[in-house]
Amino acid sequence: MKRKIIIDCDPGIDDALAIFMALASDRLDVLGITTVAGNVGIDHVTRNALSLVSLAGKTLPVCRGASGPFIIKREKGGARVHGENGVGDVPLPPPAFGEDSRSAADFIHEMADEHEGELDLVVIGPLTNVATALGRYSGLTKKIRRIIMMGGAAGFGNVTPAAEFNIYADFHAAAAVFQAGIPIDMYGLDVTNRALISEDEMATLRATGKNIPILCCDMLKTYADFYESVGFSGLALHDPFAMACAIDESLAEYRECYVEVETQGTLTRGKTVVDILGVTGQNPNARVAVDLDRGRFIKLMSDLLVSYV
Amino acid sequence: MALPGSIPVIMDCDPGHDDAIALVLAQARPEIDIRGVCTTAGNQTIDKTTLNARKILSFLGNDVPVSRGCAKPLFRELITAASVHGESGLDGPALPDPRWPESDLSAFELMVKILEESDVPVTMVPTGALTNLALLLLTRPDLKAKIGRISLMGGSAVGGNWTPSAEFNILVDPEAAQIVFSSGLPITMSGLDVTHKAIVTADDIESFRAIGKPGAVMVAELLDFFKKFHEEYFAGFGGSPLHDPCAVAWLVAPEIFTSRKARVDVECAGRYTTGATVVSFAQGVSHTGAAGRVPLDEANVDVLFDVDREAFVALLRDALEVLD
Repeated sequence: MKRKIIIDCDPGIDDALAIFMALASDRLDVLGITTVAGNVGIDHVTRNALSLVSLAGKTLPVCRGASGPFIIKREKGGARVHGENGVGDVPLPPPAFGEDSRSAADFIHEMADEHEGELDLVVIGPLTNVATALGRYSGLTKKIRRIIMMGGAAGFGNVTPAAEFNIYADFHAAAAVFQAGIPIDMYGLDVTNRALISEDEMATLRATGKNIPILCCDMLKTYADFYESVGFSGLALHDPFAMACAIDESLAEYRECYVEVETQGTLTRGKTVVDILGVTGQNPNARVAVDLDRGRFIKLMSDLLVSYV
Repeated sequence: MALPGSIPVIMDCDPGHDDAIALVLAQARPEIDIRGVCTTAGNQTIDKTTLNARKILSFLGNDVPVSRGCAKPLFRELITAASVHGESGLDGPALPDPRWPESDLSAFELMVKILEESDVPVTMVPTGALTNLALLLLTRPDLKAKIGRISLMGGSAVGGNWTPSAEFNILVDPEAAQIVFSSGLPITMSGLDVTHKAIVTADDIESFRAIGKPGAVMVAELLDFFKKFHEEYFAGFGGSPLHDPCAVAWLVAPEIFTSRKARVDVECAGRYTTGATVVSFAQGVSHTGAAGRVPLDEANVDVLFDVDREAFVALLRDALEVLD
């Protein structure tokens, strides 16, 4: 049976790849896409989501979500990483259909009711929509089966020394989601910083001559330029790795851990505090990915992107 | 005994099994000249750690001053680690009573005296909470000029041991730790990143015991007790991490360690992260993929990340063989 998912995202270059992967996979049944401000603002990410789904030749509910975090406004956006339009300033064609009238939180709630116990959320942006839905609808926690999350880090952060971008962008929302009691698969920087695509692997994608792989490579060029500018050697595919694991969880190795999100520290706000050694005595609330099979991930992703006509 | 040209050090410790072994290592190495021993509350209360320090120094036949430090952290209530070190703070071997009295000077006064009297820079070796050293740096900043380096055991770049983010020594007095880290003095940090690789196994302990000398047998007995805690809670380590001896071992054998320059600051206001040492690499790319984010001139710490375990254990074994 296909895994029923909603993709909650902020496309976003790596989000775009993840969306293409999900829509090409015969293992996933994408019920819809919810958008959240993150990599760029809510107008851009929503329009990007519509265009990306259109490019994939599908029509799906695309529901606009939060335009900013719960409480504390982000100081800096992701424009430097993702270009002004969120997808590396690569022009996308206009959407072939319009956005859904439901809000992201309402859509998550409706789908959870309709597919109770079978719905997984693949969350690859800030956690504002999920926290909003959980806050608005009591009982929702029991209806969502699992959250597959790109976010956080047991080790070092990226937006600050301690915090990863998706969590930092709305750490109050992230804290609420980790405390909600829904099982979480956490794909943090510990693995996604190692989910690297090589220049040769990108050249292979480009050499197919197909539109979607070439578009992905064009978008990734902006991403690569950013990473190079901060001295990071290698192109880390954060969101695609989380999506790949939604398709085949055996791409990662996991540790069951108790995870909290720091909301108050002056240096550590937005840090996912992962109890790797089990010193808190708390029961695990997450499966934290600690290792990966990079080669198999790249193959799975490439096969999906190349499967588009 | 210390050689001419040896490194003058002030040990600032809360013995504590691994503190005691750090003292043994410092005593055995001719390159190190222990000028004085200060105590700090942490592994146990100040009464207990001071008594333990005196017992160890007496056992080693070293009559350097042992001075009592602060009874509690700068702003917080004391936490102790009886689960690791036992009620005495040094459970295990039956150590004789101290031969010499506690110094009349407080830890602060002893540090001032040694630094003022020294005509060469002194290395500070804190292996407990940083309360005493923070007081010194705050109130006698003129004496920074007399401190060559701080080689401390504390903190970690990734993950804690007392909370998920904090290492015990830093957690005990995070404000003191931040005062030390922001002092501008050169610091070598033996945090959990390296000390969790400085493992002594059950076989190593037997090889120490087999040396047969009183010091070696005493260390083996310390490790017999220390092992119990780690077997119960941290079985995955395959032995006991010898945290504090790393701070001494680096002074005499830096070549067996690997390090990276970083900016380190201490979280003092976290809900879950208080006591975390927040590490930002100065340059290049770390082994975990974290990009360097601070200019080199903002780096304040050499963070140790790895140690040649075999060489580290050999260093200890050699020390126990030469110890009278």
